[in-house]
Amino acid sequence: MGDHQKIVVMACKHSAGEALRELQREGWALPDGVEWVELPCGGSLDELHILRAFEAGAAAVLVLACYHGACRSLDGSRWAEKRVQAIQEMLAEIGIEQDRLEFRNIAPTMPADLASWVEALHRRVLAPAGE
Amino acid sequence: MSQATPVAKQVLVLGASSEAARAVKELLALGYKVLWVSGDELPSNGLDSPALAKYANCRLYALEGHVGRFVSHFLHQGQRLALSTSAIIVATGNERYFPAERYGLELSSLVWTTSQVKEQLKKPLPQSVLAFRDKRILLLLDWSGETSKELVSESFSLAGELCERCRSEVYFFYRDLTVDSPGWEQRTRELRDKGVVFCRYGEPEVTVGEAAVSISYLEGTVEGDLLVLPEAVRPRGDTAELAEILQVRLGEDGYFQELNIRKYRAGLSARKGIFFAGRCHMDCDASEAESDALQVVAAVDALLGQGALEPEEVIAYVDPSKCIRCLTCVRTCPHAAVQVVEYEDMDVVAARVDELACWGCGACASNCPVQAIEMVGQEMPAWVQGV
Ligand code: SF4
Ligand code: SF4
Repeated sequence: MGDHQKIVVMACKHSAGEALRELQREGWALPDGVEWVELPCGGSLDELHILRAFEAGAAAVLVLACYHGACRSLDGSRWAEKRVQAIQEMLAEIGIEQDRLEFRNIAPTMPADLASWVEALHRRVLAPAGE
Repeated sequence: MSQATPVAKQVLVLGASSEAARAVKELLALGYKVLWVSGDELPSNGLDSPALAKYANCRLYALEGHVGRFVSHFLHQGQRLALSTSAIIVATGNERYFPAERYGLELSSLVWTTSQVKEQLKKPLPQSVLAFRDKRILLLLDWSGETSKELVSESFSLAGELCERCRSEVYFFYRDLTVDSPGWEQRTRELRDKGVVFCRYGEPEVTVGEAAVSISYLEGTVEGDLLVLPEAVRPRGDTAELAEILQVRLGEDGYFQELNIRKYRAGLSARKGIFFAGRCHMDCDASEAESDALQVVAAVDALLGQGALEPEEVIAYVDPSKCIRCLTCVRTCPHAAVQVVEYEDMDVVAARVDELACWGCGACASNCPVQAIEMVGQEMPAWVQGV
């Protein structure tokens, strides 16, 4: 499935989802090859989701959740971060670069940051491949 | 599967505070049936209506059910009392005390609290007024700590009343008047016009003598006949117990903590259908507490106004045949929406999510060790299933 190179963004709908919709209203679109998976809350992120994304050919996975303390469901964003860390350790053990999995805190008021993170990741991971 | 469940427009209001009274009044005006319950006496302020039932001196000892069909269990005059309501507004207020340790002073004939002055002013004439007539009164705010908004506001009123009604000479000592409430600047101006002297201090030196009190500060020393100190507020003693019964959270400061929501939504607790109004969850003065109560009533009406409730678009569903009753979901649900129950039709005991109480955050599903919980309504790409 080598030709299925893509980036998967797993995003809390309350923060990242709002920021994306703001960008879309302004005419911005996700770059080709970026798949957006919206979660009801960072707390619903399962380690399995991340592993399956890599299995399905993701070159990189970006997890976006609210700032800690701003999560509507209390600890959702903390759990998301912990799960990302656990998978990063696992990736290191099996020899996959840890920077293929990123975690970031985001607020609904951060559409510009969202765009720049996604574009930077896209340049870093997908653009040079170009084959 | 998201079908509307009819619910009664019936609300429990807990507490005897003025914001509780405001909420009751507003709910009645909107056509709700209101059950007004307090652990203390209830104010007799003419709120009477066939749609209102009042119960004073009740202790809540258990809460069952969820939004739309809460059942609150009280002890009332030695009897058990069970009240069914669709929503609950907690408006229990706060508790006042005299922080003797913080001030390093005991109350005496020369040192009064703002509440003592207020009580005295409520007494019949002439003793109410004569107690302060032509006296010089030193009101000292923000001493060794910040005075709560509620007490600052009351101190303003007292200063005005003492000046006008009692012809007292009032010195109003302050450190930083947080003029963050609309109207305070104007109130300060009005009081100045009435003759109140405002003195800003850094580190005041307070002396209580045999017959007089004095405050020394940067600009000199002011002697007076009476030192008035505002009380402090703290969460009521029963707050923690109440939070446990209601399964809602307390903040680090010991007050009820509302749900984190970007667009401020009045008094939402983490639990659907339970709301906080006024001084049990925020530092505010009485009038702000009452406007908070109005916003909370608006939020309750937004929830129940249609007489029916619908689940969120995404909610959790437990497959009872997979559940191993480990209670992980019960413990992790931030919104107290899961319980272990008996499924009579299937003859099993397993976790069950209340579909109206569930916020759909998915914390239970990602924590369940045997993947017994599915997020119904959540669209996920096929590869998540390993396809
Ligand atoms: S976490 Fe899963 S197995 Fe444990 S009680 Fe909840 S549904 Fe049952
Ligand atoms: S999804 Fe689960 S954890 Fe979240 S509110 Fe619903 S029952 Fe609770």
